[in-house]
Order: sequence, then structure tokens, then C-alpha cells
Amino acid sequence: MSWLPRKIRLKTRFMVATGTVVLGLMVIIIVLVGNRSSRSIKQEVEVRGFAVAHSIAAVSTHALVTYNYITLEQNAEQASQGADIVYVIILDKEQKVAAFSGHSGWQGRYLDDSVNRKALAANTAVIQSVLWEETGERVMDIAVPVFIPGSEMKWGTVRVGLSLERMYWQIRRTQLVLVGIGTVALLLGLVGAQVMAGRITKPLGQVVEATIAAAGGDLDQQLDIRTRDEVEDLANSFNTMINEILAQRQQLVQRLDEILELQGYNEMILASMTNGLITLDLEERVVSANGTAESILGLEGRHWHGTSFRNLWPEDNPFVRMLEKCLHAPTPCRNQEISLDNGEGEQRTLMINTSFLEDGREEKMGVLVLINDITELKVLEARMRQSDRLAALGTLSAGLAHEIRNPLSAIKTFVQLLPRKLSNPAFFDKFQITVPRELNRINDLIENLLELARPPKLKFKMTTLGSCLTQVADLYRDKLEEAGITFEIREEGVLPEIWADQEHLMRAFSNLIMNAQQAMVDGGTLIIEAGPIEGGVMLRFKDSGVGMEQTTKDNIFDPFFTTKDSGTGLGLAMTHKIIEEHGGDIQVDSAVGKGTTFFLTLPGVQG
Amino acid sequence: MAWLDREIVVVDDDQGILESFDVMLGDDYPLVTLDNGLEAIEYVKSHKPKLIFLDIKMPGMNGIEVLKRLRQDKVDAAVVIVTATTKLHYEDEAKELGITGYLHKPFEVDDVEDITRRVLH
Repeated sequence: MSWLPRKIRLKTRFMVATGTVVLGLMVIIIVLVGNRSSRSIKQEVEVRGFAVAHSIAAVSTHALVTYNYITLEQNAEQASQGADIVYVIILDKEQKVAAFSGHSGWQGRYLDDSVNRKALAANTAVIQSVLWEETGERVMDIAVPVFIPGSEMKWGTVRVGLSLERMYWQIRRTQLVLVGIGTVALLLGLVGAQVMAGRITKPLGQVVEATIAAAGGDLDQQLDIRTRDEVEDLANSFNTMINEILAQRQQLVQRLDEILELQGYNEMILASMTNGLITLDLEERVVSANGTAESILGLEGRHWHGTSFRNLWPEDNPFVRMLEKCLHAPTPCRNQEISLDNGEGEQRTLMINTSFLEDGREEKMGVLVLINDITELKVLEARMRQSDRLAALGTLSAGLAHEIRNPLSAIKTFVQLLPRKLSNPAFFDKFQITVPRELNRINDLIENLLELARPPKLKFKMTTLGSCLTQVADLYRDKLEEAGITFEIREEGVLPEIWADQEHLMRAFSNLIMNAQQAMVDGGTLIIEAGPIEGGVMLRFKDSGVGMEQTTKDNIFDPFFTTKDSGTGLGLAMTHKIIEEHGGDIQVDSAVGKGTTFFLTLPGVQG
Repeated sequence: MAWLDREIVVVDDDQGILESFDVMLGDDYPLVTLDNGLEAIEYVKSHKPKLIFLDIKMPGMNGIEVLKRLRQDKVDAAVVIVTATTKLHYEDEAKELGITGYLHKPFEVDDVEDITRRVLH
């Protein structure tokens, strides 16, 4: 059907369909009505033919029996005057022409044509169609045999030729009328179809137009169709659909706005970050870098996007070496410090942290590198260490002054009084006790200080920590119990031997025990726990004393730092030094009112 | 002036300091030495001495606390602060509480005797 246009308007289809139906109906009606009227006209002609033939036969029977040809000829001529009668032929008993209207010369002839033979052969009436050659008319030939009542002898045959032309003309006229009516009906049908199609397709057209406009992007379409049929339903559905599309478009626009806003916000965050942020894909290409990263890494004004990091900096650049290490490492790099020339001959200290970028399926996509310029922080740290040292020196000096001035005052007093009281034996006794004692105090102080400052001079040997603890415990048990302190040593597991100076170690432990005792003026509990750990032993001195504040904790191992109004403040400094000299570590955990715990680790014997 | 009206109390946790005051003043004045603040308050309140030598850095209760408590209890004895610290960061506080003087360790015997005479004669 390629000859059909691709698109046929609905209205056209409707009219074609209606026209076809009307046309078909008309054809059927014309054929049916035409046939019926033809038949009835034919029947009428036949009836008339028979009537004429029988009446001729009736009036001619006697003439035939008597061979009265003149009467027969008269009968024939008279009968042939009737309307539509083309000819009347009367045949005698011998089958010869007795009378032939208009052909008086043919009397006595034998007609040897097939029509005549058939008419003569039959004993009943015969109807035959004949083309009458003389006038070219179509003729109905009706032949009736002539019998005398009560006899079987056939005395002759009467043939009447009736012209069918008028009949055919009537039939044709009837057909023409029918065709005329059919044409009018077809035209009326088409007009009606057009009107109907218009009424149906007009709202559909509106829907189509609105749909096309909506498809073209103009969603400002609302249909108002009140046809009370499916088209109205269609229009309502269209309106609902348009409203939904509008609502969804509104939502999309809103979402897009939100996404844009978020994107802007993210970009702003990245731009405002004081940390450098750079991301690389697995092919080592730089994907993104924020302003700070560009500035720190000297990327400003350079084309870095999509460029391999190896092409951005020289091979020996510390950042390149760092990326080589971290990009394909199984775990992210943490707090790696590098020193980088900032391009102006100034070294910056950078702290690098990486994390892996993963997609939704936890597949590694690349690496995010966070760069923190800690140059200023490093300077600050150095300054703080310096000021810490100065503060410690201040504490040390103040402590030293206080510790020396007391005995010095006593010595000075006794010495100044000596000339005056030379003869006073009581004074002299006191002098001999006090002055050497106070001198010794000063000397002890100096000894302790020297001990602290002295390079390690320990006598290491294989030592069992257990025996060390037992000996210290024996020294202090009574004293602690007297002070209302429950004292316990717990050894967990097998303690490995350590390489230690037992005397110094015991001194360190003694200081910790004394410290605990002084923190528990109203009694309490001191528990020493010892146990093996990987590579050595662990010790815990846990008291239920008054605890300490943060500032105390921070300075607890500084020489002369003390919160107590008695004591030199050298004990814990000494302990710290001894533990460090053993390659160990000492930490303190404490809170006011919650007690204090010292954690110690000491290395075991290697190998 | 009666003997006991010239009573002197020395408060210091250092044995050497107490012994020093004893040999300086013990022969000429009724002298009581105490090694902590609480005892000192009790004693001063009951005996009402005229002169108190008070150390600052002591265990338990320091000298400033002792002085504050004494002044709260309307004790108007002359108080001389004896300290090993070079700079007195509690100087203002001590002044407000009313003190007669400072002695910096190591002090001069003459200074102790002078200040004692000034207060008690």
C-alpha cells in the first residue's frame, strides 16, 4: 500500500468510510430493486403476451379447423394492431403459415427457424427471446398450441411477438431513478459524514494541536472540551498529564537549583580552604586542585588539569616522591611531613594526608591529597619549646634558691652569732648540730642536681623486676600501713628479665611510692601492677590520692616542680631520668579527686 | 614590760630556721617555735603574742593563709614575713593584711634583732 500517503486525516478517513458504506448500500439497493422491477415488468409482459395469444387462439380455433385462412389473416392483422405487438403468426395443423401479420404473401410457407421449430414441437405454451431482424427489436415470442376442447388433436399454433424495447426502457428508467436517488443519498451521506466527522474530529484536533504544542515545549496548555464522550476523557487525561509534567518540571528546576547551589557551596568551600586539596586519578593525572594547593605547589597559571603529576614537577621534587609513595600504597598516608621550596627560595614545611576516593561500589577511583602548610606551626612549636625550656629553668632556679636559702639562713645566723656567743656552751652544742646538718642539706641538694645533670653512669646487669619490686615493697610496707594506705603488688604472667641498674631502678620506684603516699594524706590504696608486654615489661603505679590538675601533669617531671610545700621537687625528675636511661617510658594519667596512675614500660633483654 | 608581754612566735616548717631564731632571740625573749600554720593560729589566738615571724611556703597552710585567718580573728600582732623567695608575688596581699616588715632568707642577725626591738620596745 505504498501508494497511500503516510498520513491521512481522520476526517478524510471518516468520509471515505461513510461514503463507501453509503455507496455499497446504494449499489445493493439498486441491484435488488432493479432486478425485482425487471422481473415484474417481464412478468407483466408475459401475462399480456399469453392473454393476447390465448384470445387469438380462442377466436381462431374454428377458422383453423375449417382452414378459413381469410379469417385467420384478419384475426392476425387485427391483433397485431395492439400496443407493442410486433407480429402475430398463426400456424395451421400442417405447421405451415396460415396468417402472418404484415406478411400476407408468406401464407402456406414453412418457417424453418429454430424458434418456430421449438414452438411447433411443444404441446404447451413456450416463451422464447428473439431478435426481430426487420426492426432490430428484442422480442418476446409467446407460442400457444390450439386444441379443440375434449380432443387431443393439435389444430394449430398461435405465435405472438411482443416488443421488449418498452420494457427495457422502463427497466432502465427505474434504474436511472434509483441511481439518481442513490447519488443524492450518497451526497447527503457525505455531507452528513463531513458534519459528523467535523464534530468528532474538531475536539480531537484541539487535543492533537495541544499535544503538538506541548511536545514542542509549550506546556501552557489546558483543554476545555465538553463532548461527554471519550474525547472529553482524553482531554481530561491530557490536562492531568500536562499538570503532572509541569509539577515534575517545577521539581526538576528546584532540584537543579539546589544542585547548583550545592555545587557553588562546595566550590566556595574548596576555594576558601586554607588547606591545599588536590585529587589524582589512578592514571596519576591531576583531576582537581584548589587555590591553596595551586599556590603551595606552584601550579598557578599552569595547565595542570589532566596532566600527569610527573610532568608537573621535577623528578626529585619531595612532593613527587611523596605521591609516588602514597598513590599506590595499600593504606592512606597519614601526617607525612615534607619540606618544599615555594619557588621563591623559601622552604615550607607541608603535612600531607591522603585518602582514597571510592565510587559507590567501593572501587578505588583515585586519591585525595590534603596539604597543610605547617611552616608557621613549626616555628611556633620551636618557640614554645624554647619558652618551655626557659620556664623550666625559671622553676629550677626558684626551687634551687628556696632549697638553698633555708639551710643558708641557719648557717649564716650561727656564723654571725659565733663571735658573740663563743663562751656559751649551749650555743656551741647547737652550732655543732645545726651547722653541719644544714651544710649537708646543701651538699645533698647539689649532689641530687649533679645526679640529674650527670650523663648516665649506670651499672647494668640482668635483673628480675619481681625481686626489685619485692625489695622496694619491703622498704615501704610498714611506713605505708602506718599512713593508712593499703599496699599491694600484683604480678601478671611471667615477667621477663630486664637489663637494668637495680639500685637506680629501686630509687625510681621509691620516688613513685613516696609520691603516692604524699598524695594520700588521709590514707588510701596503692596498687603496683607489673606484666609482660611485647618487647618488655609494663608497670602501673595506681594510687587513690588527690590527683592533679592538667598544668601539674604537664610539668610533673620538671626538676624543682612541686605542688607540695615540702620536698625538693627533684624526685619525679629523677625517676623520669632513670626510666629514660633504661630505654623505657613513663607517662602519667590523673584527674583531681580521682587519683593518679603512672604507666611505665621497660624494654626486655633483646634477642 | 612584763616578760610574757614580749612573747615572740616563729612559724616555719624548716627546722634550721626555727633553730636559728631560737639562738638569736631565745635567750632574751619568750620564744615559741611552731612548724605549721594551723598550730600557729591556735597558739596565737590563745596566747596573743606581740610579734610573729611567719614563713610563707609551708605544707598544709601557707603563711598568707595564716595571716589572713589571724586578721579575720582580729589578731593585731606585728607580723614579719620571712621568705626564701626573692620577689614577693603576694606582696600586695600581705600589705593589705598589715605587716610590719619582710625578712629575706638568708637574713642578717642584726636585722632580726632590730625589727624585734622596734616592735617590742
